[in-house]
Amino acid sequence: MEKDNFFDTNVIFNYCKFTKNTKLEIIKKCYRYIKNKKGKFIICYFLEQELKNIVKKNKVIHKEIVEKVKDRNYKIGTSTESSFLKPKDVAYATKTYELKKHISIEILANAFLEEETNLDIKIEVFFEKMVDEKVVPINQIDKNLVNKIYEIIPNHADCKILATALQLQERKNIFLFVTADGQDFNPNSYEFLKEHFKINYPNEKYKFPELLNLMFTI
Amino acid sequence: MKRKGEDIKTRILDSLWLRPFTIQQISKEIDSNWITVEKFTGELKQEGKIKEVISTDKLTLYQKVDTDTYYNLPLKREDKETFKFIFSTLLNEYKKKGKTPNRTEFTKSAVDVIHETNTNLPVVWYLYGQIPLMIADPQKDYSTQFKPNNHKEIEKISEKIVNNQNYLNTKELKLDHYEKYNKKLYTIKEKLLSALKDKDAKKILDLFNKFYIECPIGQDEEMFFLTDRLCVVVQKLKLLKLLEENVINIALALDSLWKYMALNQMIQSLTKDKRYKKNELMQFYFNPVVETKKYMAKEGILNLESIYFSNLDDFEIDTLKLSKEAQEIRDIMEDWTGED
Repeated sequence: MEKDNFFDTNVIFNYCKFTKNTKLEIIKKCYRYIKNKKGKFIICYFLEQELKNIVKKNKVIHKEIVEKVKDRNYKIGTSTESSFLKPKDVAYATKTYELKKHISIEILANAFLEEETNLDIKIEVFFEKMVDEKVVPINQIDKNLVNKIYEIIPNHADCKILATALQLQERKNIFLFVTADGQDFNPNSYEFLKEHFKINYPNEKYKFPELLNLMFTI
Repeated sequence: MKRKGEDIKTRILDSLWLRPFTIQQISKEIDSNWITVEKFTGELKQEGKIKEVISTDKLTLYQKVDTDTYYNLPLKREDKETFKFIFSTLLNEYKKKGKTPNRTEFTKSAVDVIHETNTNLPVVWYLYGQIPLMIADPQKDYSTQFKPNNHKEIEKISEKIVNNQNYLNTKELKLDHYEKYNKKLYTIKEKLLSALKDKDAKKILDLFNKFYIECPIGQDEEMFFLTDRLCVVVQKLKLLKLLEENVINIALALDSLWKYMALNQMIQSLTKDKRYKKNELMQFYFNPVVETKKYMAKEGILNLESIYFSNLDDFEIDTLKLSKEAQEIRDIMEDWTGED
């Protein structure tokens, strides 16, 4: 019997970004994995929130580029709307601006809105038609567990997703924790994390889901 | 004695022109004792010229009631008199021509006079362009003994403006006004309403695209996110072949968004005026109104989104394609993960 799948945000985002022109192998893998659905698809509420946040960033990046095209003196990343962008997001906005600054603003804005619409629809269809279970409301994420994971993985979003998976694993058969994160959730780090929990929190007897990192599959 | 009482009342009203005060604060502002101020604030309250805005056991704040302005916004006494002079001069000019202006014609003439004579009065952008902060009603009598320093210039310019005001309809007048003061967003919104009325899908999408471009940022940040949401849901309805049958719902959503955006435009223009302080305006006049308008804008957009969601089941995701330009954007951002 196929194991159920508990997803990390990046897998869903990659799946939704896929087009026939996609070059990045990891995006293709995420698309194929989801398209060839096996087992149940489980997502947590935090993933939904994180995905919304990414979509919001995408919209702000687009608008920042539009503002720059309107006024060459405008500095990308300085509006109140863009205050939550990280330097790497601003770098992508700047790169896109440099490559596209010569085309007409109407064509550019239209392309941005079309891209946003496309991404939105794919996400919405995914949630409507492919998700079987939505678990662990955000206010029920075990903060104590998040902090324990944070001892090894210094990224709050990753910690929350994994904490949710661990909470769910307590009451379910072993499922797959499906990710495309090549850093924090690479197989070695994951094994290290499991060991860390075994040694430091032996009484809690945490059960870890089986890692399926699409970065490391063929 | 009566004269002295009236004088104190005028001073109390002057002290309250921008923000509410307690009796203690008014006493300090007008240099009068607490008992006197308490007596006359009581009288002013009875006369409906001031009202209590925050009243607890320990603290009562009194706010001036300015029924002559939008949202009862504060206006200095001398500014009010200057407005009255301009309104009355314009009405005389219309009378000379044997014409009764409608409210839009009258309002836009007043705005032009204020700008062309460089008269320092608060003029704000709102729903249909610029308006004097004091409500311009052509049916009202604005006779005044007051004459501002530049009264001769005001009279001359008023005559010219009324003589030159020759528009086929109010819409033409509004469009000319937006163009004259270079406010593209207003022009686009006006054209969008026409395109929605005509059910012209191509034009609707094109104008929403322009509306998105012109949407200001750096103000109330929800404004951009709501604008983007509206533009995107219109595209989604188009993809689901539901655009034409929902033009009324789109127009309603645009209208609620516009009311919220226009209020923000008003706040922006008023806070650029040195007489007004943003914090006080927001605290005593705008905050609850902004929240209500924002809520209404969200409701309008949610209504469209629910139409889209209820039809999503029939949508075949594999038919979704990106244009060459959108694909290029996706390609550039391909390795962007968006994660923190």
